[in-house]
Amino acid sequence: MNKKYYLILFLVFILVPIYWMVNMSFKPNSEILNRLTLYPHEFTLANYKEILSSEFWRAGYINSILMASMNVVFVTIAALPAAYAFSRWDFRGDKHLFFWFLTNRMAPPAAFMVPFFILYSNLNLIDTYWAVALAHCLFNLPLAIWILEGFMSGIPKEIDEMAFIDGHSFPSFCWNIFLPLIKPGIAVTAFLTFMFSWVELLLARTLTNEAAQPITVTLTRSLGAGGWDWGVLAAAGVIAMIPGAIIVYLVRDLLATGFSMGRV
Amino acid sequence: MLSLPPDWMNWTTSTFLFLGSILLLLIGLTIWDMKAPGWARQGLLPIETTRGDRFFMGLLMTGCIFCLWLYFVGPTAAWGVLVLGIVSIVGAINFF
Amino acid sequence: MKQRPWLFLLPALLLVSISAFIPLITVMNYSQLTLLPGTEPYFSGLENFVAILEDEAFRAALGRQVIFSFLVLITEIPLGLGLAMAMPKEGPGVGLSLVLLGIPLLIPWNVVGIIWRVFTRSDIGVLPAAFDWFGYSYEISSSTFDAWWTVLAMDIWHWTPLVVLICYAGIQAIPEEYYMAAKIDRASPWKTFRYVTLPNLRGVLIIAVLLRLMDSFKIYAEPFVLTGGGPGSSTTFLSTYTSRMAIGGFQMGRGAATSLIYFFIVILISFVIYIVMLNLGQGAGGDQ
Repeated sequence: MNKKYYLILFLVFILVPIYWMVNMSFKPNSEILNRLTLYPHEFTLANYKEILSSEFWRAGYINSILMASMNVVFVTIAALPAAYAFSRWDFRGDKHLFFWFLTNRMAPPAAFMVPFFILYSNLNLIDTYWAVALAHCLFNLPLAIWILEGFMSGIPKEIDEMAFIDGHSFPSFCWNIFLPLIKPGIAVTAFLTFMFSWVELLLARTLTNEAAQPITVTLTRSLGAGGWDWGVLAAAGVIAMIPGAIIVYLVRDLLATGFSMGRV
Repeated sequence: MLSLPPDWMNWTTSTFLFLGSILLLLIGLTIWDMKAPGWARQGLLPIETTRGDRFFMGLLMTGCIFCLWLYFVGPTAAWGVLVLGIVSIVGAINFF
Repeated sequence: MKQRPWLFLLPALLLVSISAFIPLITVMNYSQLTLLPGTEPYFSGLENFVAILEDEAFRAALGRQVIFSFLVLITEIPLGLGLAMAMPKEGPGVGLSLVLLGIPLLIPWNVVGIIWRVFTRSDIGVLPAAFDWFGYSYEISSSTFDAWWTVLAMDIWHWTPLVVLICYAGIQAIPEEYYMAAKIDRASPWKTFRYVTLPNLRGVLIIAVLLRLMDSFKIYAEPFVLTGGGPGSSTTFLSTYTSRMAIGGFQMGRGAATSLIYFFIVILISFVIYIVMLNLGQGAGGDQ
């Protein structure tokens, strides 16, 4: 099985740059700048101490997680019924409406940041979780509808009809039959939504100042102020990377099984 | 960081007319579809399209014509785009 | 009864109207105005559009963007598909590979830029040193060629895992019997791939191609941190250009006009690819 080696090669390719940054985060600046060492010779935790002693970082974490979670909630609530409508009924203009939703995924955030800023300034939402969580719906909602529609289409319509013949009301059918069936789909959608919200920078930076800034923004801001201190920069990168790695580890079974349900 | 214009949406007449006419076209298309339902068929393009698909292609073509016109002719006589746009939409609906 | 679909779509439509539609209209309005800081906006018609279309830098950024997205698609899709096929179907290797593949996806985009920056900088990075050892002098900050392939490699590093995950899911969903049948027919590996795997992955591949196309067109943070758009403006893509226009250039009207043209181009390309892919597989799908 020599095709396994391609996979291993690629995984190594993924790990090498990450390793280099982790390696650098444990070195003092003198070692970073003067010698190229493949592992830290003068091991130090000073870089991490410098970051973790600041209040900003903790707040940044919490803000990021809250924002992304809010976004997941908004998107899921809106996307579930919409995807159900698209997968179950033919109605006038359904395909076009679907494509119109998709076009929002194509909208470049760079194009929308000024209007967003003005819109949310007028609604007094700047520097709150709401602004970012709502703005990220721009690219997450279309994706969620798209994926959920695929999952729902994979479930035969007869199941709906059987349930109604059995005397289920619509809410009871949704809650007891339909939602459990597409649970993996919802999980995959929530994962992708969370992921795209977690990593986005441009809109988050435009819409937050101090109080609500997420970790990505904290990173750019605090570095912009202090010039380039490579060791601290690397440590900051590692710290910003950890939650993602934990999330991936937690949902690894979902990645294996969830994606393969339905059409994706 | 950002310099803001005083009003937030700053509606202009031309945007209003543009969106209004798109809306009217969509309503017209819906009524047309109710009166005489269209079906998917194959025209000049090697794919099956419905009337709505062809309308959308016509709109996209109009967008392209708009950009090309501005680039080659300039903003003078921009109403020419309107004429070409109508021609392309009608053409797309009938022949694609 | 007939209106029921619309009732179901209502929440999504509401959310789209505040997160996309109102901003889009605002962009449309701005694109026809001259907005200079400290002055009343005044109507300038199509001037902004003309200025953008005649701007050499815009066309250069657009050309670069198209080439970049094209390169991204033709490398990441086959690579992702191949890797997905090389993935073990069960056993401990699955979890491990999935976790490793998932990591780049959940790294904030500016951190991705930082990772690659410290990896490739000539004073502190290991990559230039490694190339030096092979006798190739690697200079990301002065060589356009090096900057380009590094940005491309970064994108492959960052996004191929998503393609792998999506394709892997699709492969898992193909019934084992299809492969058994191919084996009984003594089909060659290539024929099995061509007539069993590929047709069944059509839906999944459409998603992968469109997602990568749309997202690569929006690329901003990673190359911005890695190269800052340079050397010169050789890695300035459309998003970088647009945001520079919108904030840095004090010409919000121009920025808005750029955004509209940008948005239109993405929709146009995506629509064409969507239609082509939707119809391309139809004939080949055969057995479906």
